[in-house]
Amino acid sequence: MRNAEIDQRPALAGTKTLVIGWGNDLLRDDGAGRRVARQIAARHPAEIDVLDVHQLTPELALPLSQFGRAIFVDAYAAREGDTVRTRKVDAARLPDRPAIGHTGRPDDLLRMAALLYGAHPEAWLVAVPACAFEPGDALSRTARAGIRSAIVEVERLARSRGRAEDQTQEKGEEYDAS
Amino acid sequence: MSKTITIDPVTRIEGHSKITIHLNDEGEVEDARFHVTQFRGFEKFTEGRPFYEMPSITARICGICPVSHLLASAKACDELLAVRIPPAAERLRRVLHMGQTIQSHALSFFHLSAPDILLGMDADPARRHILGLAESHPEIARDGVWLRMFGQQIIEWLAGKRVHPAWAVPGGVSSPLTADARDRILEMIPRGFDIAQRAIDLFRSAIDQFQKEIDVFANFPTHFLSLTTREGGLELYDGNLRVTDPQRRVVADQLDPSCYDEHIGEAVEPWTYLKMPYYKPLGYPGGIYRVGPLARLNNADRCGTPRADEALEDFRKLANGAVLSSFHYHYARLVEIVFALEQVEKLLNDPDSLNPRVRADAGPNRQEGIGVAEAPRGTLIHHYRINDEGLITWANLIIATGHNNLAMNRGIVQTAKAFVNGSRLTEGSLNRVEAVIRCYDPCLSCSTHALGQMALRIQLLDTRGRVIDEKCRD
Repeated sequence: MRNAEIDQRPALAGTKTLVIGWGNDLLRDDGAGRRVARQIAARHPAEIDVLDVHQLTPELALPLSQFGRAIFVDAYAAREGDTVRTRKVDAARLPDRPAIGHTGRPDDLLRMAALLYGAHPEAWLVAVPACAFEPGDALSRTARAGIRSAIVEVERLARSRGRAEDQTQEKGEEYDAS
Repeated sequence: MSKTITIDPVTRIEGHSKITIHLNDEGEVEDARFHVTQFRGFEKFTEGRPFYEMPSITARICGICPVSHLLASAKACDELLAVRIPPAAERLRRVLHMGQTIQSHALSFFHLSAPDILLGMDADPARRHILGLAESHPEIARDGVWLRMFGQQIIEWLAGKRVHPAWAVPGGVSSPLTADARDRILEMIPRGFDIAQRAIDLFRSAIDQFQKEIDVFANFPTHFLSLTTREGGLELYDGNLRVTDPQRRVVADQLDPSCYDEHIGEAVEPWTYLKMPYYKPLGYPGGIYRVGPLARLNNADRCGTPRADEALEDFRKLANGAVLSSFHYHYARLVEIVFALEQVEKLLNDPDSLNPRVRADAGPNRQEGIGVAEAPRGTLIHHYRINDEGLITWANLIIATGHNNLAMNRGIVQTAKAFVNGSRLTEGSLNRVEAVIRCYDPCLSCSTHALGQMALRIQLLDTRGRVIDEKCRD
């Protein structure tokens, strides 16, 4: 289900990029998104702003509204050998479950930014394949490879200009990376 | 035939749980239970760890109120060191605690419960959440986002990060406050006051629409437990324990928190991982009591700060004795936000807040330490024993949500009997049964932590709800 009014809200014209990586570092691959975010922060301290958080919370709507471009990075439950998936984040995509509970969606945050602050960035979700979620900090081989690819993907999106559809590398099936 | 309604999971609370409502042959509610279905284990797996790791480890119990665990744990470790921490360190710990109270109460009121209050208990569940609130009442949602962010910002500027900071340590805190951070916090305080006052006005204007909920949302006589100052004032960081009865009469006062186990017992039920604390002089389950914002305001003679005292005066008008309806936990939370903002302002305006002496150095000098603080949800107790090497040999944690367990269970029975009809179930009626739990703002990840003592019962039911197999572990 979509909401046309939200769909038509313009993103800010600026090109400044915000990367938000989230997950739980203590549950192995679950923290893959945060690892990507930290590496991006180390590689691009001047050009890209980075938030490394445990969960997506409503407070993130305010900083989101101040950027022209946002890239969310999370882990998704994958099988061994799966690869990074990228999809457009859509402020008009209405939630199909209670919004922003334990598992906030980037789409909901974008929508909140639009509703509360009148602007939202153009945004993507880069999902890192994750196979191991038990307590610990050792990554699976799939997640390690996924993190390397995700860094490249985030850098590509941050550099890119033009229509969002052209920038979606692999749409894949509809999935929930939270 | 008798029937059970299950609400699983309970939404807009912290942690995992379910509610079962038991109906008789006529479809009327006979009983209801709040089952906490998650399990942690901190008390057991911290055994063998060095005591000085406890603040950092136990802060991981929760992502909402890690600061409360950090502080209660640091206080227990202060006891193990047998030191009195520097005054500036206590001052900064208090500021941190107030930041935690502001952000946690803002989360509970604006993000989790305001959708029920502003959109209505019967509103479409697809809209009855913070995003729906952002659509219908964007100014309220903005207030909530800002206030929570402010509380978190206080924590970050003091302790380095918003969630799971490790800044409070045995003997004090690890770094002093900078003048820049102090000034930035103080600059934001006036906006906090404006938001808190608007929220109080909003809640008071909505009360009339919720008279039936006020009447049956865990509205019954219980005792109340909380810390107070030595003068009987509102206290969230330190002080002594006070117990009052439903008429607001003090039945026990200035109890040494380190003797908590003389006054509080813990019972176990086979259908939940959450223990059932009770007030020992009244036995189990008669010793039901409540903690948290409602209990603290019922127990305190005054807040001790002008704006909060004014708000407390209005709050007192709700009842002749203690305010008994758990619906008013929301109101009490808002009064405490005002108190916390005033406390931050007062503490930071003292020049000693920038004093660089913030830690007392010592090794372990005692083998037992108890730290007690008022977490946003109520009285939080950390109790440790260590051996000669400073390793933990035993730990006991009593968490706010646990104290309220008996009251939460009785509350859902009362609410279900008033709103649930087995022959005609409505989403709104079931939402009210969840909403009574939300009044307590329970933190279930915090409160289920014992290992090796919990009874467990697994029932296998057929499609008609009959038990066909059962395994019990006592």
